[in-house]
Amino acid sequence: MKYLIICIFSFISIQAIAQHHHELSYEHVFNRHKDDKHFETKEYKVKHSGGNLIISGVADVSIESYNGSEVILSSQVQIKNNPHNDRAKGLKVLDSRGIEDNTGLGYSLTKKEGNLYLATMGHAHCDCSALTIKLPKGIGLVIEDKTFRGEVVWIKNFQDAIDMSLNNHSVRLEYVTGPMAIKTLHGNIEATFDKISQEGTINLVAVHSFVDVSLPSATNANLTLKTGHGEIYSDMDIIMDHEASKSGTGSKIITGKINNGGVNITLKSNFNEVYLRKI
Amino acid sequence: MNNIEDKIIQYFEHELSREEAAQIEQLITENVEARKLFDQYKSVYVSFDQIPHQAPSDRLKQNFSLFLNEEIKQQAKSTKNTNYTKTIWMLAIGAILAAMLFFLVKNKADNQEINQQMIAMNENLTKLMQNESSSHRIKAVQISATLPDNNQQALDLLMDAMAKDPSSNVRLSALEALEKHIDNEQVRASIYKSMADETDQVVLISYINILTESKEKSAITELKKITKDQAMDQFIKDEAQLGLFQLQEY
Repeated sequence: MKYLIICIFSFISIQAIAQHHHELSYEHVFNRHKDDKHFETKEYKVKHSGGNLIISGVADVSIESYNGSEVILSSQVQIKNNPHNDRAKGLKVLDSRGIEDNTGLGYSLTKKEGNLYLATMGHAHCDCSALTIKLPKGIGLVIEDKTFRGEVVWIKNFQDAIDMSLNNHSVRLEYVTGPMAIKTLHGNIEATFDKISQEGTINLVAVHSFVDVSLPSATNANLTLKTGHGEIYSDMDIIMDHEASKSGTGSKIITGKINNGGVNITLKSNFNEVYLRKI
Repeated sequence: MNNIEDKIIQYFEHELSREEAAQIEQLITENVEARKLFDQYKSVYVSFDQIPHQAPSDRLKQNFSLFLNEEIKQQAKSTKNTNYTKTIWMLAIGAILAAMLFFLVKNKADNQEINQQMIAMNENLTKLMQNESSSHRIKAVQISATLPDNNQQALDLLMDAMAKDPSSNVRLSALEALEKHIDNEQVRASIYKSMADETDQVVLISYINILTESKEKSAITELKKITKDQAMDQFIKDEAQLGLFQLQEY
């Protein structure tokens, strides 16, 4: 019984943390040092086309695609060098991965087999604010973060494939089309699609927090909405497959089509709510 | 070629406008590579629509009835002066035997054709599983999940994706696709093995939830291993412990 109480308490605590996760606005996260004289905006550019940008270990980051040929990283960087450690002046921070901060923004960016690899180096390298990335169209995005940093990945105006696996991060998607497969353990997912690509599947999974998605009402899709311990809310006209759907005190599954059916969209939260809205 | 591949998939999903579809049809007459790709996808989609029906078709049934009636009518005309009933019955039995033979031969030929289509489809699904885009691999997983339960190659493909795919999103989709096969001993063994090797916490939580929902008593041992794993994160152990409580109640 004692163990059961501890389990339930842990579960409630995780829920509470997840609910209060990331209330900060985009402006606050990405422009908080804009008018600070101790900070300057720095950029790093590299020409690249095709393949994927593969990011491992990431803090607050905003990514959008544009009609250009260079990958552009930018961040507001504190002007004073090595503010934490004067002894380190003239020395390099060593990293067991064999990579180094070649961007001046606290990140290592390398090319390999047609892909770009971006890895965070940590605050020892740079007192930088959130990172903004502009990607030429046609480059896919892969993000994996297993740290306990609980920040936000913002993706805007993005039409290429996305594959994300996150631990504590939340995800904000604005004017994206898919295909995409995104999951986060403790963060939540909010997405607004301006149209849905029929090229591949859309899978959005949040374990402890909610998934909230807005779709154009004319979208053609096959839907699977799942929750283990929450509820499923929607104002869309779903033609439900009652045989494959399931309701009850435990897990709930809604399977069906919107309009004539089309690409497969799966929205799932193990312990929280799933919201599907029409726009 | 990736873009063309996407367009070809959209072509078969009937998602292209009339103009775009005409462009694809034009392209495959001019470009050998595109034609090859088009034919590969065509075989997937054609075979997908022709998943085997074990019962004889309506047409076959209708042909058989027509054949039987015709035989009875013809024999009735020529045997007015003989033992009418006996002859009719003998002819009917003969017709039934002939029809059964015809059905067996035709069914064998149909099965061979279906088997060839299934082989081609499985080959194309395997190819789709090697696509660089995880979203395309998830699509292959979802197609495999809709195939008949006796398609061992599709099951193997799902079990392989669950165990080895580099994207944890694909591994998660494959696991969820295999949930409905949890009564299959081979699938269950594969789930237990893959769970022991899985490092992604979201996928691990899904393993625990699926095993709990399965009400499989053999899952108790597997969940106990998680609760006793020193290296496992506490919240995953807690989830396994909750699953154990539920499984032991069943």
